[in-house]
Amino acid sequence: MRLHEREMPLDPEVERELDAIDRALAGEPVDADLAVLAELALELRSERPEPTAEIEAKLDVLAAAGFPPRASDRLGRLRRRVADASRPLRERGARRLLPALGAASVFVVAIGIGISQSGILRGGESATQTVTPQAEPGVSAAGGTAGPSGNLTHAVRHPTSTIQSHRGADTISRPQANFARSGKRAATLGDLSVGPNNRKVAQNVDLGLSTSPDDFRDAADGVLDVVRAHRGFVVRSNVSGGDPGVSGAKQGRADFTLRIPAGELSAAMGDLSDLGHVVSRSDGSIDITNRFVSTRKRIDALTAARDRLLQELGQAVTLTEQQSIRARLRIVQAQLASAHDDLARAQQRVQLVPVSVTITADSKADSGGAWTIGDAFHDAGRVLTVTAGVALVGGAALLPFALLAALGAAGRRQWVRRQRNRALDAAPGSSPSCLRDAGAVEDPAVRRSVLVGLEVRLAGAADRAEPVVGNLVEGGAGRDAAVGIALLRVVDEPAGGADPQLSGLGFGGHPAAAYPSIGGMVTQADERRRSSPKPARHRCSTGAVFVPQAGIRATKAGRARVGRGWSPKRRAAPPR
Amino acid sequence: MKAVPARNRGVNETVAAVAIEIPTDADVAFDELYRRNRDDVHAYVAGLLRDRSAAEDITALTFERAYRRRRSFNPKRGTRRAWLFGIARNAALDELRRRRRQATLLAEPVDEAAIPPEQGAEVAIRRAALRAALASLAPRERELVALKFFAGLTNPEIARVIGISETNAGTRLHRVIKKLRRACDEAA
Repeated sequence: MRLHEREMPLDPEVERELDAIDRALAGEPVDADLAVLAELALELRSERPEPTAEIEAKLDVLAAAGFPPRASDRLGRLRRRVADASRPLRERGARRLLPALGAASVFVVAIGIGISQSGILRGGESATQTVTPQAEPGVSAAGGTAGPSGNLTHAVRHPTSTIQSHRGADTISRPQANFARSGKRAATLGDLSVGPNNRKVAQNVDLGLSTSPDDFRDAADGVLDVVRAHRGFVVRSNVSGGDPGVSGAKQGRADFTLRIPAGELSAAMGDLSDLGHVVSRSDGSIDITNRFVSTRKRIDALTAARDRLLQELGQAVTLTEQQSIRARLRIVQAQLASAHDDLARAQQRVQLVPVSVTITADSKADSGGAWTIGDAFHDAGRVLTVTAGVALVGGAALLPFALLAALGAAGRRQWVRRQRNRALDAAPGSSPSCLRDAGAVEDPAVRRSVLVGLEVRLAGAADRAEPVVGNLVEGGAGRDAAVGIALLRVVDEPAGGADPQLSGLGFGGHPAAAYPSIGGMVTQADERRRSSPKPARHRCSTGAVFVPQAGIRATKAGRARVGRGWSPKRRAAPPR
Repeated sequence: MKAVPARNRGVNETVAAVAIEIPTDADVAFDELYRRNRDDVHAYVAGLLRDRSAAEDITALTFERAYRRRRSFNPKRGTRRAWLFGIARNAALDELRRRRRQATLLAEPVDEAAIPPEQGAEVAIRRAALRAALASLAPRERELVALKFFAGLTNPEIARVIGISETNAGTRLHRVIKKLRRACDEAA
């Protein structure tokens, strides 16, 4: 951004002369005292380079063709092709719609991302499902067993895992754990209870449901119906609050402890899930095969012991002996009964799955029925929220890159502008006028050192080669007798007329960075020096004297001045 | 949507086809810009570069760039002419940048035949002195002369093209004229 400069008025005389120039160029009369100026303006106008007829014809042909890009400009040609292809659309005004179309497409993409992230298409409300298969102590989770039987080859395949699931979004890896959308479909974990034929797996399920306050009572009643329909029974139930007929009733909550036959578990869980929103579900399983095996072995051993005791009792002859055997027999029978009880309990644990159901009345929960306009508003809100979040995160992520790109573009623009100005300053004709007056011509074959112009910053090595501000004060001429001590004790001789004017200080020095180097300049005096044994001397307007030296061109001195380690005073100076 | 009567359909299609062929305002403005400024741009570029063959290429490049960006012209930022010469200046300076990497012709030799013999020796001498004075100008000064006297830009337009204030442009121009006058007087 450019600051507006405060305009200072032109000097009236300058303004008058500029006005006279404009009038002269326009063919209008000017004041008599400015006639010379007007004549100069017209002469300058007459120096105007006119294009030849051939150039005019070429330009007209290009203009007729719409100034096609040159063959070397591949990008331009591609751009032209695209422009030609899109011309019909532009003619119909489609260009004006581009910003709107761009904004709309961005909005659509953001909404798509928002919907995909919100999970509405997959069911929306999230629920937590925990599947916790547990191995009985003694059975390794990896599938082996350390039990006494030693014939079990594998046990529970899935160790403890917690799965975060959205509404209906089944992310559980097991196909059996299919979670229903909005609680309408059952989560089937039937296979979890049915292991291989020789496996005994005890399961347990905890189910959390939420319903609207109006549906709370129906859901609680529905639990009993489901249990009855699937031949299970209720171990314990507790229903409190949530009575729609009572004003100010506290929020409803119901807890059920159920037993569901393992074969009916999948269907029963599906029906229970239909009663409301599934807020959470936890499935657990324990492999109790070892318990079965050990109990059966214990029963077999006790049975054998009992048979043996009975046989001994039949062969006993003394009363004492018979009493002793009967006492032992009672103990064995008690142990046998206990073992049978253990086996029965284990059987029951496998066949009747404990299910814990919790139902809460939540005013925010929908009734689980059809998709309503309220659901639509809710989903729309979620979409907008997620969309705004995605846009915010995207913007925050892109902001640094955008800033960097903007900075890079601004820097590049500034660099190009500076390069252009430098190109203008370094254009032919920008050499010192003193040298031009002396007849110097630039030799394009001689290249400048990249360090030319930096002599002040490299002070020391540049001593006397090209006198600039930093090199003005010289300790002395040393052994070289000065041909001419130009000014301020500068021995100018080796520089070969590098800067005899020293115009930058009023009478002397100049700022190095602004002063054009003379690298690549060969004076006519050099040529004269070649043909004459006596060096020619030039005197510039400031009185500075320099001596062009044959065979030592300024460029050599320019190179010498940046080379540290040897004295340009001694090597650059030619013998006299 | 209301259906177009069959008897009008052909007429409507014809009108639409003609409408597509009509050039836009930007095209018309560019055409006029080209016709009015072709020679001026060439003169400015040739004066700045001092190379007629390069001036032809740069002039074509200038109009090519201007044609490509003709719809991006903003009248609030200056006249269309100043905009065009800004493009020409950038193209010419890019050419100078390119030349810095190459050894090129410094300046075209003076065409002695360009001065008609019937104008006499005095005019020839004056012309020669003026050309010498022009050749002695620094590139920035030469650019001012090219913009003012070759391209015919006004001082505000020159200020806009170069990127300086109008007062500064006038001051610089006056300084260059003064320099040229002095050089010509000395030569005379």
